[in-house]
Amino acid sequence: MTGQRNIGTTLLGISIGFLILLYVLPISNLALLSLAEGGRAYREFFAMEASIPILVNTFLFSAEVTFFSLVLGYPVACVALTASPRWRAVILLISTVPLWTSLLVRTYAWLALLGRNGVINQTLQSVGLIDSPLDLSRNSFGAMVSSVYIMLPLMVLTLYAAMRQIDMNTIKAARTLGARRSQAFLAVFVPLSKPGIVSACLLVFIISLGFFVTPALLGGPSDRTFSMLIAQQINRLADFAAASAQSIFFLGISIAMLLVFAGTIGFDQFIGGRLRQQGRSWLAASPLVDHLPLLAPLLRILESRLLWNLVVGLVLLWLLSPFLVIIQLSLSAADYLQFPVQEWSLRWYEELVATRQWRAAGLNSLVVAAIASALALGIGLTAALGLREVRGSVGRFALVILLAPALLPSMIYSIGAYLAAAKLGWADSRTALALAHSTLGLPFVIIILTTALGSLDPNLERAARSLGAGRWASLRFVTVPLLLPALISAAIIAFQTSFDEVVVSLFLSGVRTRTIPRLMWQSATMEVDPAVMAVAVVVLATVLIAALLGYLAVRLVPGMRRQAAAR
Amino acid sequence: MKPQSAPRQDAARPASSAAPAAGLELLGVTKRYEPLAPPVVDDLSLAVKPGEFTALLGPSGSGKTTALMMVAGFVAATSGDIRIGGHSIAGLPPESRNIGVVFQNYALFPHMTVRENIAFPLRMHRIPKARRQAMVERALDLVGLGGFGARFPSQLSGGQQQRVALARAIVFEPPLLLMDEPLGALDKQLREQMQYEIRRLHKELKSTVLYVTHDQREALTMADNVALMRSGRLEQVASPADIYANPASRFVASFIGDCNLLNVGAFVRSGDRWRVTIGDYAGDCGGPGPAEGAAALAVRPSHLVLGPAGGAGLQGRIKDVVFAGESFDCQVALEDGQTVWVRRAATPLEGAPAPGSGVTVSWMWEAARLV
Repeated sequence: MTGQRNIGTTLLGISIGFLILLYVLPISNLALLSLAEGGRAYREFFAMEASIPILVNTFLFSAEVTFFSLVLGYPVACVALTASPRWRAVILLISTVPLWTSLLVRTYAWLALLGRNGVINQTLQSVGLIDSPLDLSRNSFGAMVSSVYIMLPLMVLTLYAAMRQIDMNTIKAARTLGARRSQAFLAVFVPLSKPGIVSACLLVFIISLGFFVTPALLGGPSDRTFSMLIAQQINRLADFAAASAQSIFFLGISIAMLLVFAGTIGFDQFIGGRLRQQGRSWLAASPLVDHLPLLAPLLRILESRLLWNLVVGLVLLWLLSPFLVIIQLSLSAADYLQFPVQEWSLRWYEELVATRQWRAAGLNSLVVAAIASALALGIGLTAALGLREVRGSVGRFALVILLAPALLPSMIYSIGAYLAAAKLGWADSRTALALAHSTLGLPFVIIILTTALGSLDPNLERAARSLGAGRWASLRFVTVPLLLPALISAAIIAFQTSFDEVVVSLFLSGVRTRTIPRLMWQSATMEVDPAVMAVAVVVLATVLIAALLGYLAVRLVPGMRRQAAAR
Repeated sequence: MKPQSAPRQDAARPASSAAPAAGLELLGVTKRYEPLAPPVVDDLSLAVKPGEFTALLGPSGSGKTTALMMVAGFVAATSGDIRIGGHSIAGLPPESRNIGVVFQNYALFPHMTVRENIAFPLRMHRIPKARRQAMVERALDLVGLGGFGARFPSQLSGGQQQRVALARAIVFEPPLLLMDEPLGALDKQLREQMQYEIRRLHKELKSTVLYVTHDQREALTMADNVALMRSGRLEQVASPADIYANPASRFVASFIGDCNLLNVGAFVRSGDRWRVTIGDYAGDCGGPGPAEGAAALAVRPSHLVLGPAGGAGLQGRIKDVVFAGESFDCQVALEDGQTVWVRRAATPLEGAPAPGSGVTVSWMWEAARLV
């Protein structure tokens, strides 16, 4: 229908307008600011001795995070792919558990584990393996461990999604043609998973570029990232022009990376599209897959199911360990971090409830997250419906814009939003924080809803129309009910994105609107406090309860269960 | 686009008794997705009389589904007009066209029960609640699914889902019914059963039906009229018997039924017939004649006769024999290098022709067509 396309353009226009207003304009404002005094800030920046090394360091850091995530994530994705349905569910669930919990909770957990008086050091000392505590945090090791931990779920999920597109009959074919298991793996499976590897690595790399919280809390003096440099300009020097110039410079680099991604891999995979299979593979042609006596032991190791399972088991244990530790520590009666816990008590939870500061922060977090997720959901649905009608290069470009807030460094946006809010007299306002958070949740909502819409048989809506339902009635009676599970998970993720958000909150929330992550950050920059462990558990529980409610809603509403079963 | 004509209210409201079937006319309908690309549907003119069952047949990519979607209102025609009951429906949104559509893969709403699915159009057309239930039950009975109303589509077999889709499309008594490859997802036996069911429903409801299919057998067995499309254009519209016996082009001859296309040595017009010579075998036959280039003689395998070598006809040797149940299909290599298929009824009295034996292939010239 001709009208259909126009409506699609309108819907897309509305959602992009929203994003321009709340995301693009504040950042553009930075560009203006950075040019003040004839570009003094840029001249100073390039003259500054530290600026280029920090940029290089940021890239190296991201590359390392990407490498280790791939090495740990690839076996997990492979085993999940070949496991029985039950084990696959377990593996994927454990891989995603970190994703469902606050970034700050995760980082905080590593602080508790790796600190000088942390769980690992205390344990090793009590066993008598070491005399004085090891330096596990406040250095590159700590920054790397916690950063890889944070990126691993994304790596596993992206790899797994790509591997699922591989026709497993090709592996069987290779076996019937005389290849050993390991040879089929190296010559067929790994090359076919290449698009997934490239896409997952680029994704992890781009997101790692903007890392701030983890290296700031767990890294040492040499682990400064570009986002930290920008934050420093504001926190210590209050030099907004310099911070703006650095932000714009960093933005340029990030956008370039984003365009590389959009150009090579494309964003279609985020919305249910297939990855393109391209080129031949050096691996398939390499002597590695031939029957060389020298390499036979290597191939045999690759074929050891036990070894694979062991590696994956250890990775999964690693993924779970912080939670196990945090829950225990929060129930400790000791005034300081003590592991193993000797006396149990609920005193820290009682203290939380008693402290006005935490109660106020909890309320702020809930209100802000509720508004932000509602907004993100509404705009996200608008965008997803629009994206469905508008195809081709226009649609692809719109998708890049709509997903950008999830991929570009949040430090840049934080500063932009902070300055914009200050200009409008909205500093320390829940509304401003909620609006800013909604843009960060929007990409996830769009990814979920667009994928769900794409898997919807277009004939269902056509059928509704032919049976007499107008555009609105067909949306209300057919599309939205069928999207309900997706809408619920999108709402939960948008909620969590806001509930969990640190960087923007650091800048936008003042005394009155302090959120939980904001308060946690304050304590975390000082010493590990058992009360914060209790907060971490509460945050974890809140997100898990929200997820559980969503899951129950999908299971218990009869029509939705049918539909979930039909998928 | 704005509605050009057709009173929207009237079109959208089913009459209390069975709505009279309305005729469908496509007048020079063309669909071009890109200005320079060849049209997907090219100047299609087709009339379906009230109460008639017309099959829109064609290979995949021939534009038949696009044509159907233009009638249903999901694709706008680039030019041309579509009329139902004499009124143009150009510009009317799908929900105001009052056309029942049975979709490929049924498009049943998975979140509604069978009853809710069938009641949906009644709800949308604001039929009073009191009347809805009776109409739903009647539709369910009509398709033989009484008692299945409380189930969800996912609890039904493919054939049952097909029936629900039918019931949902007819319950609001639309004057026109469109079906888009409705039996494509069913296995052969069920498909034949449903062909019969749809035929029966059509006779019972006396509705006008446009039925899109790529299966020529389905078109021949079900339809009053077959409209064959190729690359967006209409090749021929005729009754099943007529289109089978008198194909208007070589494409029609080869698409409908099995057909041998024999290279012709010489042909001349003699009156309203053709004088055709192949080797030293000659005769008079009908047919449209060649559209362009070389002519071919179209003869159905079942119209070819095998005789002992040296008789009147074309000489050849049996290359292969395929047993197909009720018949033997014999592949015969002719002396001039061509190959033909001859279908011979398999009777208990006669054995299979022996491969390698010499034969004479002949036919009744009345059954052959020059295309």
